[in-house]
Amino acid sequence: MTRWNIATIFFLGVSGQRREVTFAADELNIITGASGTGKSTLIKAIDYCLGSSKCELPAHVRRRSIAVGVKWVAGDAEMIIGRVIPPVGQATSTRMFTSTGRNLPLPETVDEFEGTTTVEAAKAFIERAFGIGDVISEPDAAAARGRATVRHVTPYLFVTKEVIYSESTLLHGLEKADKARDIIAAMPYFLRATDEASAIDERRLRQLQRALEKEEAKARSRAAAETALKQRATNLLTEAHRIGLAKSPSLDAPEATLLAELKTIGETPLQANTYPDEGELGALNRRRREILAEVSALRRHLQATRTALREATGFQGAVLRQRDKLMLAEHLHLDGIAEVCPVCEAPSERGREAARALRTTLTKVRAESVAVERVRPRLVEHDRALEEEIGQLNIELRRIDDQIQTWLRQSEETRRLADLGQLRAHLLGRISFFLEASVDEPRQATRDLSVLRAEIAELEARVDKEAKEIKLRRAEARISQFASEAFVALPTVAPCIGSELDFSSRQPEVTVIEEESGAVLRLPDVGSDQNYLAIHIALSFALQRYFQTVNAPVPGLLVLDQISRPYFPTSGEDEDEAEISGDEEDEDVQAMRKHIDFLFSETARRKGLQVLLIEHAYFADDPRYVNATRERWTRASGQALIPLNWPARGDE
Amino acid sequence: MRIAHDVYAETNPAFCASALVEFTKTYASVRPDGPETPAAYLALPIALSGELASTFTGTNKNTGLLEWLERSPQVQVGLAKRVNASLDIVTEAIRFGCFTQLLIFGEGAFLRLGDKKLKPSAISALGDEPAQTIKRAGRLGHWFATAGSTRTVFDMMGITA
Repeated sequence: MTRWNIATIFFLGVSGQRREVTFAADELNIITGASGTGKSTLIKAIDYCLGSSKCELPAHVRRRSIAVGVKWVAGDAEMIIGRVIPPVGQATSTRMFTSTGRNLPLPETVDEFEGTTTVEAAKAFIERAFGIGDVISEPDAAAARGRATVRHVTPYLFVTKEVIYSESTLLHGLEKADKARDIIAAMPYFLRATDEASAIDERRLRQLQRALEKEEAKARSRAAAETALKQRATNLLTEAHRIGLAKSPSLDAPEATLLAELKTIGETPLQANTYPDEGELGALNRRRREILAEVSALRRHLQATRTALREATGFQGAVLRQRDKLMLAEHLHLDGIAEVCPVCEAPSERGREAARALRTTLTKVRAESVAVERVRPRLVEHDRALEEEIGQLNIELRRIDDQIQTWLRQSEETRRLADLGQLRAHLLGRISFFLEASVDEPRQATRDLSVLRAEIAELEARVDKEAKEIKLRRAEARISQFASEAFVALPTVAPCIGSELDFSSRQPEVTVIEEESGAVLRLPDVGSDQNYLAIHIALSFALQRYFQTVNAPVPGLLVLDQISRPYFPTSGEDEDEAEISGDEEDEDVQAMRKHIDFLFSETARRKGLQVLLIEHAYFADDPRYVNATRERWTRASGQALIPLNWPARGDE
Repeated sequence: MRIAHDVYAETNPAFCASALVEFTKTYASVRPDGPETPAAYLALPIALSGELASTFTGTNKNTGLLEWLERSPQVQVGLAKRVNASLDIVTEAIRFGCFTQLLIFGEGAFLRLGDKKLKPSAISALGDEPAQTIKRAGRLGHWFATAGSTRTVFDMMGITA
């Protein structure tokens, strides 16, 4: 599976200017520059185009550009996500643009963006492209905790300046209490300890278990009622026999027979003078038929939705969905050499031209669309909505049935009032009352409990809480192992030299296991910015390596914001790029070189991993570093992310 | 196969052509070139479907295609089947539209409005149900145009030509 990388980040100016920063996929890309040139803005731009709620782009960028876009690539699939930049003083903008396909051209102006949509829809679009499915958490849990969204991917992509050598914050975004909860809840999903299919199974299992409980309770109460019911039914039948309405009852007949007999007695025709309006009954019966038709239609929809769901989640969620194909070309006979117009079927030159034009259009559609959609998360919701609707209809059906019964009872009454034997009539009334009381609702065919139990057993076998725990533990163990491997290659000072790292996703936290003594050190015990830096770098690469091995729906992108921070503490805000070329090397520079070596070798080793290094230092004597540097925004060159000669926008 | 009379009434070329005209009109109001023909094959079945009518409630022309698909995923259930089943109907509609000069099948397979105009009275004389169909076609025209190229629209709908 190819992983998503960033090809271009671009900004659009007021009058048709476009600033592109281009990156190579699957490689280390370096951007160096003086402070205040917009290096860190790149992170904000990516984050903003992943649908963040607030626009955190700095004011000088917002004053000069009107839209920002990111072009993602995965193999030959491309995706352009754009978003309007709000003017200074406005918190955010909800206009986004999304399009996927092959060979997508970058838009020149805002109007050229394709696929205008809202932030919510755009986020769902990106989730589908990345392959983030919808994990429905406990339906009764407050809000949608644990539902993985594209916003929960960012901790694994960005190592920002707040995080890179922090001793308290492990991942980007965990410093915000309100966000941290959701990020942690979604972690098992990204670590592949749970997936969409099992989440759907879990929900289904809960539903079935509830249904089974209900059915069993019903069955129990029915069994209890049965004896009393039989007793009374026999009584009534004997009475009826006494006044000559029926044969004498057989004592060991099953309940159903007794009830049927009572029914026939209840329906004994008695002459009556007035009947309630027949039209009403007709209307009721019509409505009943309508409802039944609706229910069966809904069932059909449910079936279709379930099939679609199964298809979307059936292949472990990671297999590309083939797009459904339209038969347009065959329909218009465009396959052969078109001699006639496909529309009017008259042989003419114009017709031939039209056929050609149609063919090119269709070819374009076919060639440039890429199947990136995998899971259709919303279908799960739709499925539930349909079930609810069916439930509603069933309730209405029961109501209608009741009304029909009432109507029948009324006609019963008129019959009773006719001057036939009062006694008989009275008895009939009692019988009908009894029937109503005992048969509280039309006996719907009860669900086959054994089928239900079998289904539950099957689901239980598939959904296994313990298995989930084990999977999570295994994931943590592997990440710890990867992180320890990386940690060894990075420059550290005591107590971290030669130590191992242990990652836990619960908190989440990393502990350092000291070599020799085996002491467990929490982060605050470790000390030294160097160590914190090494821990963060090791962990972020370990997570990315793990995501690659398990095909997690996380883009293969890692953005590091200045790993030189602990080594060259910036004195002022107005710092120029620091060029380093082999004169006397102090320890700090050597440590930096060790980091750079690690970045190059690790990025080369991992397929599909793209690393963006935003850096203050420029190693002019390292040819790899020079080659990997895409942009240099030094004071001398006067370059920056947003060129200084762009005109300001006039809408503040 | 003989189409039963009432189905034919729902899908007769004249009616479908007027829905197409509405689709083309709103599309061209955003993109003057007009829609590419394949887009019509996608839009008309959705507009004609009574089953999907409810998905249009609470939307307006600014809702946008992607947002609408996000709200009503059922549109995409069996969409390709739905479209493939109504290819003939759309072709008939385009043909009828061209013969009556309501539509022009222009250069590069684009559809444009023809010289003749539909009488508004003819549309308003329709019952509520058919009038809604025309309205839906118009809304789809607007959405398709704002969504982007035909390719993007097909892409969003999850189908390919």
